[in-house]
Amino acid sequence: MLNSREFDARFFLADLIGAEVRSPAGLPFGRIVDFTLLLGEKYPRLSHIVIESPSGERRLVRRDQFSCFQPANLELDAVGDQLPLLSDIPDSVLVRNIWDKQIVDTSDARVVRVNDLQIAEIKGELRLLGVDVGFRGLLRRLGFERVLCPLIERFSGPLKNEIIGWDIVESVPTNFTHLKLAVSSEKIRELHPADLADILDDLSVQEGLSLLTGLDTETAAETLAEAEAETQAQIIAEMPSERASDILEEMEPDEAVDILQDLEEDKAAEILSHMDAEEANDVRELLKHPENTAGGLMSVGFATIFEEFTVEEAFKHLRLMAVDLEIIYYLYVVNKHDKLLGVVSIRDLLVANPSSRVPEIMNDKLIFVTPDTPQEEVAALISKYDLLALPVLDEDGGMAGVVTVDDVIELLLDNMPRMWKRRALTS
Amino acid sequence: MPHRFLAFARARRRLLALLAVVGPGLITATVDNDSGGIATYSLAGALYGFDLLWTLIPITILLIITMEMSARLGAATGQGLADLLRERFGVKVTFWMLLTVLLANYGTIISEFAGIASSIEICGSASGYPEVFVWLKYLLVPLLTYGIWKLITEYDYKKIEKFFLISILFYVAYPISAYLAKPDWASALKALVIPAWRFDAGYFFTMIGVIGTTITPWMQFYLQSTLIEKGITLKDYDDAKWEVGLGCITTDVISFFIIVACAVTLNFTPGMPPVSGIEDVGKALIPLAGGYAGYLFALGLFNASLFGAAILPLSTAFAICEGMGWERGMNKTYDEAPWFYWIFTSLLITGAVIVLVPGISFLYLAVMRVSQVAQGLILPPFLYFLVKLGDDRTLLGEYANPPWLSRLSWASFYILTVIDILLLGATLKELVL
Repeated sequence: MLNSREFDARFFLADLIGAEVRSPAGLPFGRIVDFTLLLGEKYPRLSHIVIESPSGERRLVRRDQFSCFQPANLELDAVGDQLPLLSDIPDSVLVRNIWDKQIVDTSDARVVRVNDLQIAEIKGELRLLGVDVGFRGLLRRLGFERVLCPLIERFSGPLKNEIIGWDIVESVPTNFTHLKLAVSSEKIRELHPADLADILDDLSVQEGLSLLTGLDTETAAETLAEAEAETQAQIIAEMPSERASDILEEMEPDEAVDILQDLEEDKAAEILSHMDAEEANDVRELLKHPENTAGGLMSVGFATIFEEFTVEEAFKHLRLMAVDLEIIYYLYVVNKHDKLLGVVSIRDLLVANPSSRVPEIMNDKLIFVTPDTPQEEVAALISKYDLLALPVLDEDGGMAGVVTVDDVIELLLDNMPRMWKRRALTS
Repeated sequence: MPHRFLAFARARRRLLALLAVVGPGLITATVDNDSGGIATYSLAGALYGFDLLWTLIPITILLIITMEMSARLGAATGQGLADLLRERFGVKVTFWMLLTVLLANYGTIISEFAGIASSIEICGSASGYPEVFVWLKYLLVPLLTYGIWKLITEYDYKKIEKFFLISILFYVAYPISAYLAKPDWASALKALVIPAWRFDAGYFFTMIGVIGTTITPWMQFYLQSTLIEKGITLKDYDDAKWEVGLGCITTDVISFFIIVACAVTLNFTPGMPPVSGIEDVGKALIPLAGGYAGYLFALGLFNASLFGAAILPLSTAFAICEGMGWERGMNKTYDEAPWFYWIFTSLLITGAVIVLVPGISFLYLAVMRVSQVAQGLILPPFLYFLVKLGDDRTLLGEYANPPWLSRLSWASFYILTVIDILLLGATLKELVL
């Protein structure tokens, strides 16, 4: 936001629209109906004031053609028919179009509706300073500000304007105007995916899609992974299958599975067919299990090491694998036939002698579940033994996947009564 | 027979696709027959016999037109109706429109609680112990209010939707009532297709009530937001359209049975509502059709009123917050969405409290009727904005109203405006003379 010393005066659009403009002789000339906007700068310039004459002509006037520019006192310096008509400039961007539209406040990562606009006069030029999203702005627009504000302030203290600087605002493409209003489209990309996901949850499917279109596949995947389950399914269902499969490939397979399970079968199959063969296989494997079992929760991003490994070799192996893993804290020790023998944690490896063999330090008292174990039992085991992840074994004792503690937390949150969840999320 | 198997699989998939969209249209249309609706239809039958039955067909057509338009707007834009009003017509239009919706809805909410109270009193008459049931009213209404509040704030809309769908089954009470009343079906069907005209204020008043109770602005807001909540977009729209149409027809078939049942059993002097309360309608049924008919009527009324009392405060709060740009929805906390919780809770609680003021029950029927007439009066201005949105090509592209639909909608708008003006004129005349 600009420092208040940098501008000469501040106005609200609602106070200017409809204000009467007089000619130098003091006679009525017309009323302000709009402003034209030059996009591109941080605080865009309002190039012309649109004045409607009593006969209905809309003419453009510059700020410097006014001898006095105050909402209560608007007087022109020079008047004539030589003023250009609004219709002469076909592609003018009109400021009033921003009224009542939704914008993203990138500093708070929330979607808000524009009640009014704040305009500043800086070195003789009018500029768009910010949007007013507060209650006072709403009252101003409705023409109630002067009557109601003193009344409300008597009871509840000062009613402040809620201004968001134009430099931190991001426009939402609406169904009515497909115009990109703000210059700061970079701002949205700088947001954390979790914040982007909050925005996504507040937008309509169509708006959400256009928000994701502006993001690279990786960020889009991270954002979508953080969004609510319903938002995820609705947005993926609306995407072209190629793009949807690109995004799902970027996600952890278990997250991708959660989304695919909420889609119609045909659509899910189509997206799978566009996915990279290896990824698709992982996903198909996970899709076989019902959502509310260990198999439905588990992911395949874990590391296995062979029983012959030394501690040093185990580290080497982990370094190579770590990038693609969801959980790196545990390494699962298997034999030649892929049968699980024991588990070592990174802590065990760190404190062990680098040359000692893994089986000497591993924990061979296995705590595990099978793919059809109910999710509640999985949660109970993870909680009881204070685990970060729990192995899921198939009938041959081979590793099918792991359920991580964050999968379980999500599950617990989903089943929490809504009041608790709301309270937990705000505190 | 792989061929037959394929056809079967296709039919099955089709059925599943239809089931996936079931909910919004059916629920919205059914809540239409809430306590105000039942009161209005009952009186329409009691005062004018079969004479108002013919209005049901044009009303059903208009209902389908408006509901389809909202559904299409929701599916194409993913935005609620109040959002669209705000973006297209600005804050002033939205504010005044929503204020009238709030007032009319508030009247309707009171009438829902009046319906709950009345149904308890009808049970009192049917059982022969009216005093006991008067006390029961003071116990049950607060309990039910708390129950509704808990249900709406604690549960996912998905679960509540299933609950609502089950509640629709109770509407079968009315066709049974009508059957028990043994009407002359042939003349009822004849009256359905051949208009009967009367030129008195009472007739217009009742007609506006019938229109107003069937086609209400709040339904459009509610339908559009529940469709969006369900994630219905243009690709599911063809299925959703049928569901909406089915809902509209179901609701008016039930209206038909209510009017018929009351036309046969209750015969009041036209233009002069002699009943002091909706319970009189139910009570009048008892000697004519037996105690069970009274219970049946009460059950239907109770279910419908409870249904409406659950949906209307929620829908009203949601629409207002949407239009004013305030945070909304039950998955927001009170701190995030204070307006939403305040509006929802105060509509619900004050609606219930007003009904419990001792000695006020003689006003129940008046509230039910007047609130429906208020809904009817605000319908034309609302329709104006709805059809404008539906016609908007920048907004909807190829999904904008086709020319025939646009013309039909504008014609309905003009007809409704004329009826509204006639009613206002007739009422003024009566007041002056």
